[in-house]
Amino acid sequence: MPVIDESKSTEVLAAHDLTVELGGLPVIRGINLRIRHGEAVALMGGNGSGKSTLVRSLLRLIPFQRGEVRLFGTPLARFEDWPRVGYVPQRSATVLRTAKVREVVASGRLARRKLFVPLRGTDRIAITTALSAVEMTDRDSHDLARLSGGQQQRVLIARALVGEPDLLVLDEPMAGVDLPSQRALAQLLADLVAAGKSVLVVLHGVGVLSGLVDRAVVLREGRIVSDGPLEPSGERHVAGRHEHDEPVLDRGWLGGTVDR
Amino acid sequence: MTELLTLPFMQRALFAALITGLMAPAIGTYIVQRRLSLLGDGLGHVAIAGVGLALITGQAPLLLAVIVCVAGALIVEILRQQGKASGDVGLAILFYGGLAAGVLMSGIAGAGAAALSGYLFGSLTTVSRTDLILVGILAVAVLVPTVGLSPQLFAVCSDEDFARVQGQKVRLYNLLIVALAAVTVTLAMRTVGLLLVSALMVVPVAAAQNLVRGFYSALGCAMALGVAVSVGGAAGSYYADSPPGALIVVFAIAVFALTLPLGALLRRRRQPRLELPESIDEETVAVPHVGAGAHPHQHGPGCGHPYVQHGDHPDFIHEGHRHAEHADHYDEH
Repeated sequence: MPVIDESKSTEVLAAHDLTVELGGLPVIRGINLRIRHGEAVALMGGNGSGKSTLVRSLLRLIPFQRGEVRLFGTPLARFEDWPRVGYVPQRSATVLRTAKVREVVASGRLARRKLFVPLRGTDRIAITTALSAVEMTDRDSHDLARLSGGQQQRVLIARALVGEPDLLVLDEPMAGVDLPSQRALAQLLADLVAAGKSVLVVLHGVGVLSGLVDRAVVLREGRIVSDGPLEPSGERHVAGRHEHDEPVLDRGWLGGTVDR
Repeated sequence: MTELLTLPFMQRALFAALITGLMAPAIGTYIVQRRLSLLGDGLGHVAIAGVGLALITGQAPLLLAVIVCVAGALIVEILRQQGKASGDVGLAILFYGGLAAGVLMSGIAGAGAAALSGYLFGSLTTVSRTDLILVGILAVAVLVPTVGLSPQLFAVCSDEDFARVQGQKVRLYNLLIVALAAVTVTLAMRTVGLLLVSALMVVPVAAAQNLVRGFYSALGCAMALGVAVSVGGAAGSYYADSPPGALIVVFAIAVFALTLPLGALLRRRRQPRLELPESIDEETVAVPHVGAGAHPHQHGPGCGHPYVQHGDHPDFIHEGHRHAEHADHYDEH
């Protein structure tokens, strides 16, 4: 059944009736989601609402039981164009022991590299550009494990950017990140969206990103309970971040328009 | 020393030691990154079953042990990928089953457990000419992907999910790593021996991580240290008249012990200047002003107290306090 309209060439990501089970339990239940080119979408909801599971199934990291997912118009099972996707997993999920910042960032270039071929000039330029985009150039030879949480997060974002993706998927990029780094990340994401990239970001609360996101999708118990633009002092956002424990940064909330 | 090099059996033994010293730390770097430091030990036990099978069938031990060990390694990895190896129990059964089967088959073959000892701890005199050819071929087969595919293997070992989203065939690379480890373990049976090979996969890597920073530098450094200790150990064991494996591992651990103080020194010199991040609520809640009381000591760049950058000023760290200069006194920060 032609459930997803293929004529929409501007569609970056589309899910229809997506159902994901983990250990026999339906965790994501019949979700419809669409991200258009250049859109910044926040995926919100409390702990256990299924945010990370949804993101992981959209990226083919876990299988889904029912429904359909398309990335850049291609059904997920046949999707091969991975350089177009940049993924920033939750920081706690990475197990890097000994690696320099530059090496970690370079590992994000793999999708654009051939086997047995060393880094080429274009790869090196991309690595330098990504490092400077997250302002980590002067720390490129530091051990990742010795950096602060915010700095590690910036490195992981650089690792996703270095492949020059069109869609950036970030899973809780603000968790455990100090305020200056949060602001720097927000500015970086705003620049990326302004440059025409699409962004899907999993968040506990919109916080410093309120000026950036076009739409907030709120999950509860594996279902979408709201999907729409951020509203000033909207009830929905309060509902969406009911479990989060950071102070709410309301500066810029009322002026939360996206000028692009 | 020159006497050593004129003996044909020592030439072969030293060549085998050189190859082992290169291979074991190279593949060991990935094994350590994946936190599977004891995998080599388990695979050594599986290889013993291959040796036992060779003794009972009268075949050349090396080739048969390679085949058995690679098969065992792939089974372990497939079970792990499918989530069927429940914790460590499945692995333990496979590994100790391998050891028991090897000893049993060796006994039935009439060779007894003593015949295995040359494989367990290495033996200089037993590296044959045909062994050496096989060692050479398999060493190339292991080293080419281990070094040539290092960007892919590094990505898979450090962050599987991220590697998958880059379209990397993560399961295939994981199988490749254990298969390469299995070949390495088996090739090392004449030099360090099957029971001690795991030390050569792990200890030079740990020593290298003390000395140098970064994954690729550690890979190169570990291989250099591996060659030094295994060639040195093989040569030394000729004079000590002991199994080479023992001396190789003793050398490796001695090198590791030396790198501990050296590494601490290097780290202190490379230590980036510490910086305190602004706390989230700093702007909304005023930090109370707390004086440090009577403080006769004058802090300064050369006063010996470490300091961290805190916003626009340095805080001197002093018996668990952070002292910041404020007019004519110090504040507690």
